[in-house]
Amino acid sequence: MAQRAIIGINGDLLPFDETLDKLQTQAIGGGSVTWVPEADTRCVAMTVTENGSKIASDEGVYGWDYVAVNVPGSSVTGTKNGVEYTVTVDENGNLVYTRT
Amino acid sequence: MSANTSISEGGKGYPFGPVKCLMVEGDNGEFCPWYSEADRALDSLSVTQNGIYRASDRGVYGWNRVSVNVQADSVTGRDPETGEEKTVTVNPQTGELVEAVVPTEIRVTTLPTKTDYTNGETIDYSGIIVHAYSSTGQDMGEAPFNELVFPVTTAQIGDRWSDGQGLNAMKIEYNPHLSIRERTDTGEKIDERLVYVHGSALGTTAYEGVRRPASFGAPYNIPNASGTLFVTRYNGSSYFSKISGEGRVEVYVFLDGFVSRSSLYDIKWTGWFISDLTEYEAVEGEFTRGPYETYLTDILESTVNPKRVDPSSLHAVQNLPVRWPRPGVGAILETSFDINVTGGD
Repeated sequence: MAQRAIIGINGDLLPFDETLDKLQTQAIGGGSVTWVPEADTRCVAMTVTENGSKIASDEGVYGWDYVAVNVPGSSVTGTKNGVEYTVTVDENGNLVYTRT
Repeated sequence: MSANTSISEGGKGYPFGPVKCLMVEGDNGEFCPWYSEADRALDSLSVTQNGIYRASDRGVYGWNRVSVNVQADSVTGRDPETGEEKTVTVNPQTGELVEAVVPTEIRVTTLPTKTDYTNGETIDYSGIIVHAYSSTGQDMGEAPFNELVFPVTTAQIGDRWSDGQGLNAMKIEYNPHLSIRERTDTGEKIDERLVYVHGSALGTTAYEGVRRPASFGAPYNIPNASGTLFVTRYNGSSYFSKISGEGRVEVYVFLDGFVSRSSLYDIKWTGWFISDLTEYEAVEGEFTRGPYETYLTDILESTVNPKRVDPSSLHAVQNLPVRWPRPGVGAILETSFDINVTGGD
């Protein structure tokens, strides 16, 4: 949420006429500090039920501060006759052994 | 993180010292906190196990990217060679894959000891034996009784009855009229000119202020005495229901405009009837004491006319589900069996 801002210093108001996404101030000791509105940077919770990747900006949010993951397992990996396999289930419900 | 910051105006610096957030006034007059962008930096999260992941627990503000790749403790599917449904797990000690055939069906192999009930009776499941079977029909042994779930606890006749002729049933509503009149076998006779009756039926419609001229043997009508009851309909042409009620009436007997005496009577009436759309027969009730008798005189809000039948001649078959939550898989297997239910008294 960009906003037009006013900062008060010693009783004087320093209006920023432009709409601001960020505000930069000098850091004491050198450098600068960039400030962002809380409303623009609020994080939300998310529940995940499937394996995969999710990008916050794709979901229209700034970020996630709480992620609950509950994914029913879709594969196991172990050895059989000394060979390592990953076992999955295909779309027909059949077990599929794949060497890994 | 707090920032040692300052704002410059016209070359003049205004130091803030350590500042965690700036309260910035918008031109709408409302203040909004602004935070250091460094404090609001996001990180990515990679997850391989189910669970709860709080950003604050990791010392970050939030995640902008979450990747989830959770491996299962087991997978369940069909063995393409044998056709059996199996669960594959990993031996945690050796890392070897372990296959186990899982049950996909349960059947009642021995019925409970008791299978005949009357309507409303509590069902006793003792004696039942349920076996589990694989997808290829292999008997995998008995499902433990204490793991079985029996959702139905009471024998109920439900909406589907049979009168021995295979007729099905449905419900309709009606309101009966109840009437009372003096009995002729008690030796008591009310011959005053006016009788006033009022009272209430327990849990049903009150009947008060019923006033009829007194004439020995004439009935005193009590509309809606039993409230709304249900009638069961057979194949669109016949009806069955149990009707019953109880209550208390007070009878005032007037003579020349004055109460000559009053009496309190408990009434209780019951009846079973079956009917078709054209015949009618009243269901008689009884006073538990006193010189009155009761009977049905009319049916309101229905075209049904009742005819009495013996309830014991009516019966139904109730299907009872039995469930077994399949251990280790999360699926629930279900089967069922039938019991016989009669209408009772």
